[in-house]
Amino acid sequence: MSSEAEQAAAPDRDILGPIRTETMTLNMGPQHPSTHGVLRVRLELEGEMVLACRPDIGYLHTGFEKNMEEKTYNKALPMTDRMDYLAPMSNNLGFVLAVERLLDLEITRRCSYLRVLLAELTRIQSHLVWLGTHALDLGAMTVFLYCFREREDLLKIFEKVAGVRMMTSYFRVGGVSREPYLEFHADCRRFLDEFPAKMDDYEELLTDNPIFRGRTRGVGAISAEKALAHGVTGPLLRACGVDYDIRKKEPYLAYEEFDFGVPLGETGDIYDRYLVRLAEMRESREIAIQAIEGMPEGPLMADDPKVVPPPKERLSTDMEALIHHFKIFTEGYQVPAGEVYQATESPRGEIGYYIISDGSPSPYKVKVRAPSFSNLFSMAEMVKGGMFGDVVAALGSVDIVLGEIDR
Amino acid sequence: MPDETELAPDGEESPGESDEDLLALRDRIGGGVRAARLHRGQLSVEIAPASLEEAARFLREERGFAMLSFVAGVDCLELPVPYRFKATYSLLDPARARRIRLEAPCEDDLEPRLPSVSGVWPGAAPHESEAYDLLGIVFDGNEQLERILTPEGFEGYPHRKDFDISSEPVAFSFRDTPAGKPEARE
Amino acid sequence: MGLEEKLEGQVVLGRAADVIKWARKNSLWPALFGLACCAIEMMSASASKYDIARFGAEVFRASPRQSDLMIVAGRVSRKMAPVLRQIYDQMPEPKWVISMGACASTGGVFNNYALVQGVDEVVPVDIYVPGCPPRPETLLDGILKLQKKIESEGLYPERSGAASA
Repeated sequence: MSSEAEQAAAPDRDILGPIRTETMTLNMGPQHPSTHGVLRVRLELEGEMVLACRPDIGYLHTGFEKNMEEKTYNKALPMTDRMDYLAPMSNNLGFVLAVERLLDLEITRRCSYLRVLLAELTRIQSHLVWLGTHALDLGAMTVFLYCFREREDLLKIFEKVAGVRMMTSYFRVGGVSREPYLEFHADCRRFLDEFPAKMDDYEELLTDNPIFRGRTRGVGAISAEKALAHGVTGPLLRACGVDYDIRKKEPYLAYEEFDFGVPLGETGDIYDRYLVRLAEMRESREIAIQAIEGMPEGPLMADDPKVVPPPKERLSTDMEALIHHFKIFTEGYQVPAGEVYQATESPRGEIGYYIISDGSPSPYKVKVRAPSFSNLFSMAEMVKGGMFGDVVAALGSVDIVLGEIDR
Repeated sequence: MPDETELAPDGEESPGESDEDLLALRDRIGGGVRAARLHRGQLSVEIAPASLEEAARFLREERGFAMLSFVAGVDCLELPVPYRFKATYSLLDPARARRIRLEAPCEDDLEPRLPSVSGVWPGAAPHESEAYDLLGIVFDGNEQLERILTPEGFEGYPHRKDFDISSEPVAFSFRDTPAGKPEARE
Repeated sequence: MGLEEKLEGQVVLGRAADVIKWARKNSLWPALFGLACCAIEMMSASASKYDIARFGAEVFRASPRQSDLMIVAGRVSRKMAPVLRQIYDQMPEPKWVISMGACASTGGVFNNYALVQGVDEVVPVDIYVPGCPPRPETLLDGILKLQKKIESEGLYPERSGAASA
């Protein structure tokens, strides 16, 4: 107390004395233009240098998992769209695959191909949003406008297929919600044919852009070993050079029948992540084209009247169909007791559904393994020792979606 | 050692002695492996809490399970098992593309505790914090353990089965003022 | 008055209140306040195809002190609600609120412990935009409706509840 009073009394002496240095704690968010939602980051700074970084989440905690326990499997499905709202179909896919695994239900080959096609279009769509916002964070406005232009084309296809732009809930247990429309393949084809030229535009704007390179090369790197220990998955992990893509290593749907490459980085910095995601978009395009060309004929829905609702037109003529329809949408279907974990490769990494069934028509417990969750917490490793301005670049490169982190 | 299929629901195969990871784990921690199940092609192993950290370290360092995919807390209140809480750990060996699940039941139903594996996989820390926040399972040894999702001062553990899902009052001071809820202007 | 005759074709006279309201409604500056899914549609509305700039509301401000419109785009959790209220209080008068989407308006499908059941429990709302999420056109319609409202209300609108927090 007395020393403070002395200092207040003699301010001149203090100015001329040695400059005291101390670390500063800076709060970023939860309302901040570069946090991609409502994330709060606590930063320990020494001048411009980041000493420690701790994300504080929960500002978008919605209680999805608890809500899903109260609903039948069919009614729980639309919840999954709203978790990772940039890639709704990837979420639907993980959930329906897990439930199908619990049911031991086999889906048709045509359904597998259709799901692959839409999952890859979703990946392109999600990466477009990432690219646009990431470039916007680093000061490039044009890329954002370009990316959203292409995204609209994809959303139009989704809307025509599922009826909704974003929250499609199109994949259902045992199949999809309805047959795709007539010109579906032609629309996809047109988009995929035009897409490479658009990608060249983005690359021209960013890949050799000295400002972009200056902000991203050698910045925010993480080693492969650390990435694995932190549970980092997806493009982030592959940018470190770890060849792990669930589509290749633990194939689901019909991915083993497709010919595609897994782009890898070397240094694991932000620039590598950019290159990996861009290459992934091109690979996704290849997969989508193969899916269109190789789309098998045959039924779309699995043959299990207990789980798959009958076609609408049979409801007015067939009593049994009406009963099945009514039962599926009111009380749901019984799922055998057991636990499964189904991992799939979402645009952000490993999205997994860990579902426990007690034999009733609603899940006993659903735990969503969200890729952004682990990826976000690895950010502390990326920014430690770097400059404060790089935090924004690193955060953008992680490609977080708060909806699935907080759930 | 209890029978392997003791806790198994219907339609499950026994992993038998063919799974090499399970055999190696048995060799290492012996009675720490309480049961093992193979359901829909996925192996899950029930581990005694006391052996959890050793099992985790062994699997990571000697069996190649470099990544911890997630930690999930489960409230088994309505399941036919003799304990209330368990935590599930899903591990991945990226080189062999192999997954294994460890399950550790909490011994105390009222104050569930488990040893933390954040010393083995640093990525476990936020997952454990989530399980602590939503289910109240305390992970000993996790220095970063905190309630990460619920707001400050939140009471109860929302993902417990006996926690009511809704009908919570909204805690905003101005609701108690005479003005009450602010109305939208016409 | 005679002024119009002297400066023919160069001056338009009007009541101050009308001119101020005209300026207010055609230059809404929204706070950059995205919460969840709806924020992506809000971004779509501001991007190339829907171009919110046609209605003068494209200047998304990162600081609430520079904005007069808050678009609550997405679900509001109980952890976020006090923050949201603080941001609202930081915005200078006059200010308006659009509640975008089912979750912000009513809690949506999530009637549970985690979400605020409608953002009007926290801040006064002028326009509710329906949808899950609303299409960009729906948001633009909401902005147009808000413009009509600004035009028809007084210069110093009464706001209940705003001052009490």
